Amino acid sequence: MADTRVVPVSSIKYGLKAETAFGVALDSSGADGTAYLTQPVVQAQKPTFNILRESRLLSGRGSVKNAADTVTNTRGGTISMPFEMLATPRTLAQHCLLVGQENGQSGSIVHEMEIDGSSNANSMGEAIGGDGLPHSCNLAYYPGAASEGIRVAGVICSDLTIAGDVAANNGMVSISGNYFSGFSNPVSTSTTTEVDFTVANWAAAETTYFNVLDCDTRTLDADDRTTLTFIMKSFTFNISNGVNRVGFDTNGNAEVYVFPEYAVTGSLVVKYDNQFSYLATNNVIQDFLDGDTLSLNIICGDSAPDAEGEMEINAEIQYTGDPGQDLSESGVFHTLEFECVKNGSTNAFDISTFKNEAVTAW
Amino acid sequence: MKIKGKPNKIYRVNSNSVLCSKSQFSKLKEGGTVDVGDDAAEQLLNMGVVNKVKTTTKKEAK
Repeated sequence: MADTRVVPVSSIKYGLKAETAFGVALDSSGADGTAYLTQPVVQAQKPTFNILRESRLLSGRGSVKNAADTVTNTRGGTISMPFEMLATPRTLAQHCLLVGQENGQSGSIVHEMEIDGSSNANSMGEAIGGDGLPHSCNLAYYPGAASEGIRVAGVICSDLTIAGDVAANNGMVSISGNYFSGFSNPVSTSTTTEVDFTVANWAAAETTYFNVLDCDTRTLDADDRTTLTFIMKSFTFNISNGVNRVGFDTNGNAEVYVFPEYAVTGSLVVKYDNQFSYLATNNVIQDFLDGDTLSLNIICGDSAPDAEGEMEINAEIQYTGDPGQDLSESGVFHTLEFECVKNGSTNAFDISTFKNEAVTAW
Repeated sequence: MKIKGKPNKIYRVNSNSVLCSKSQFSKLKEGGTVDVGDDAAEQLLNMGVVNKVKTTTKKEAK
């Protein structure tokens, strides 16, 4: 008789916990008792093992492949996993760190991640420092039953999208992207399957979010004028680091990750008005035609971040296409596609968030 | 511990996730001061949504 077990989608969850040694399991003593931080997703996607498989139809085998002529190799592969969730103070700060490999802390505690072309790691593979940098995680995928878990080691983000839209998710800011690991060969001390997670130890997901409607400060340069306040419909920032795995240890897992280029692109939808128009001195089209670099500042909150649910984004942007139009009953809005560039000594992109926890607590 | 709510910050916090009572939380949302347990105070202080209220003790009159 067939089995009647059903696995509700919501019974699946996953968690992250910062590694203390690159690509090494935090607890490989048996059942994994690590206190993973549950991620606030609606649907947890499964990690995908991208391993090597060779399949050839050899001469003399007739007209069908033979079972003996295929080879699979878990060494030298990668693991990827998409994610999407509402941003919370910790998840936003940690995922920015996982993609940008940079973190500065001040006060109690504002986390700043900047993309400046020099602070961001070009590679990682050495031991994790006492400050939790560079930053990689153990990822625990728990399908709702004991001993069916998957633990992925050496996890970072290959790309991250931060998005806010007054008309989506009730205005709450979301993050999405992909996790990446170069530890594809299952061994008990690293990535492995059939793990018995002690889920009672896991920390619950956070419940404080960011809301676009809290963005009290929204300024952008336009043509000859600077720091003009805009009325925003939505924003998106996409950060990617182009990660590649390099080398292989005795288990065939990655020795090094390399980050060849940190690219930040995005889009902004702002209202067509007297500040942002086609008029001389405020002409957004002229900004595109002239290749102007413009300063963008968005603060979610009533001040620089000093409480949960607040963040600040600064970016130096250049339009990558002719400013389009978003036509709706709300009037005409500009759709501004851009990329972030380092402008003199000013960072291409930086984001500050408040979370009163050290990186090492993640 | 006595804490005072920051109305411009605390409204983002889910009232079901805090360790103080509903009535205390409501008062904090209005910017009021309440006396709560240390765990509840620490939780909200860590979130940056309240301030700790300094209490001064009166010297006994001679």
